[in-house]
Amino acid sequence: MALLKEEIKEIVDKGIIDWETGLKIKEHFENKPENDFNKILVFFSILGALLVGLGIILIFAHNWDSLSRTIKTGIAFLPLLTSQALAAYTKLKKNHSKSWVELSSVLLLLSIGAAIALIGQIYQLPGDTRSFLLAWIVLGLPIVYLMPSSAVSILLLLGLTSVGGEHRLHSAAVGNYVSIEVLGLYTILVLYYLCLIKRAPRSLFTLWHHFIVPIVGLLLLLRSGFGFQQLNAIIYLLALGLIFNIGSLAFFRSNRLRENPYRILGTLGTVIILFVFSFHAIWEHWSSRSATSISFTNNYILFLLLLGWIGTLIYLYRKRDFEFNPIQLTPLLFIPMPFSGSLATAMGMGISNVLLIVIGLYYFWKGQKTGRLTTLNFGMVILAALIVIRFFEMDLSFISRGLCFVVIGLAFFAANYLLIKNSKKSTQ
Amino acid sequence: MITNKTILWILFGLMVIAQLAVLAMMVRGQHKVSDQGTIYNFELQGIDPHDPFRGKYLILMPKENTFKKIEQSTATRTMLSSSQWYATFDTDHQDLAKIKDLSTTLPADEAYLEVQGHQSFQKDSSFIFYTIRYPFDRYYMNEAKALPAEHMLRDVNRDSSKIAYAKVAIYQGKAAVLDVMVDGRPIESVSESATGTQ
Repeated sequence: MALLKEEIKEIVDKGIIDWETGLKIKEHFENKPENDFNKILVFFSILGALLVGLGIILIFAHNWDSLSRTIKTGIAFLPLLTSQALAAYTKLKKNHSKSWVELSSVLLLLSIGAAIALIGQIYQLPGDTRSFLLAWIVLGLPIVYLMPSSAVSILLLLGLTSVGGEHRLHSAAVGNYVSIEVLGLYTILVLYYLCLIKRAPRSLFTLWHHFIVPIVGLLLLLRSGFGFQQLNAIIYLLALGLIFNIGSLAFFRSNRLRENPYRILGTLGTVIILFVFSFHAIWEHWSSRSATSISFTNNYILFLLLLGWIGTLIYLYRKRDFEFNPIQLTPLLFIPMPFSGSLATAMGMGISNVLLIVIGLYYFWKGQKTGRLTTLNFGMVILAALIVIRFFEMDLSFISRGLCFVVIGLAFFAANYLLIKNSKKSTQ
Repeated sequence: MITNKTILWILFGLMVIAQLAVLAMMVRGQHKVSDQGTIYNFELQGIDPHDPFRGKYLILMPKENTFKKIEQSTATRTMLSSSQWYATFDTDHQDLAKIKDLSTTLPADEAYLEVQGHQSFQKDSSFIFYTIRYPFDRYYMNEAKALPAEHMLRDVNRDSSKIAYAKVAIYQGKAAVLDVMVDGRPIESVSESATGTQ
């Protein structure tokens, strides 16, 4: 880059191009998306740093009990001090090299973990894996913003899922879905993700975050302690509905489907959950506590999700980006669930089955209208799966089951054949 | 992202200091407990699992984990609802720690330990039976010695002539495990000789 600057300066000085054009050329090269070689370099830097860091942690875990405490304590600080120095050097001299920034950040993050682990081991500090991971994440969080490092952001998000997971073992409390500290850490990382979208909307790291941020959010919900189970239906569906709405925003809509994980996750997640809720067995073991025990303090996640879901829906509607989709209707239909008392089982099963039919038909219709085979077949797969599952639940003879399968198979052939034929006709 | 260079460097410095300070505080806090604390010996049972980051350890399960307390009207009710208790200790003729008292108020002029209320239930209303969980439950060991140590603890528990105990310093509610002893010798040296003879 420095060489390029000099060259441009030379051309400007000679009067071949004016100063403004020179500046524009310089800006163009500075903002040029990374080429493939750079991407590979960044990837292997991160991989290398990960392996070295994890290796150090494993070597420490051996527990070198022949060394004295003082020496061991000194050794514990050594990788940390080294990687702090490396991070400072990177900030000072290699600030523009992505691979340097990510490499030193990942090393720093892992050496924090190594140091906490070794100090805990040397001094027999009490504390389970969850508290260990929490301390690690909190101390590592500033790296994300200060270096700034997207790789560390991804690692911390993944780390959070295991913290949220351990929470389940310790908390049997009603409500309290995600502990407030995990929620806080997740929010701080999501803020970085928003900055990343603004700064580099098309970078590979941003794409990775598009996938990881919503998946980690869902895992945190799924893996935390649950008490009042009829709310789960609403909580899952609201979260997926919110994810779907985000995927419907103009920013994501302009992307191809495979670059829009929100849309994929929201749709697939909702359909899967509806299938789960369409079984009788799922509802049998659910507690039927009254809805009066819902309060903001122990179910703040529910209220936050509700707010987010309604907010995005209104936003989409006002931006005239609103294209009706039965997925968006789903959470709404489950809201009366906790208030329905003994009717809950019948209601939950009924709504799930009807919604699956509606969603299946909707995608079938949409696929036919737009001539897209994937959409059409997605709709048909939903309908076919629903029919197959319900047929196995019912006590029917092998002949009728067999006939049913043949009919579904023929329907697939017919629908695809007709669509391809139609689209050929329209192109001719 | 933050663009002002000076602020960025100040924040970077603060991050570095915070990372070092937290670790230093962990070391210092534990040093204080082991240097200034009163030392008790807790008779043990133990098993050997491992932690993905900190290596192998023995789960310490002190045998002295129940306490029978005569009910004292209203004070009892507050104890039942509180999960944070303060335990004080005595030593018996074998120099092993025995719970002297459990209370929700800070004991004066005495070494005490903050413990977790595990269970508590009432029996025939004259006294209450408490089970407590100690804040120290891990003893990290060399990966080659942890399994023999577990076997040794199991054998010691079957043999009534031998005792295994954790030497623990207690200071202002906090605990530091100093050693795990089998028959008066540190478990590291005992398990080392046991593996050597095999």
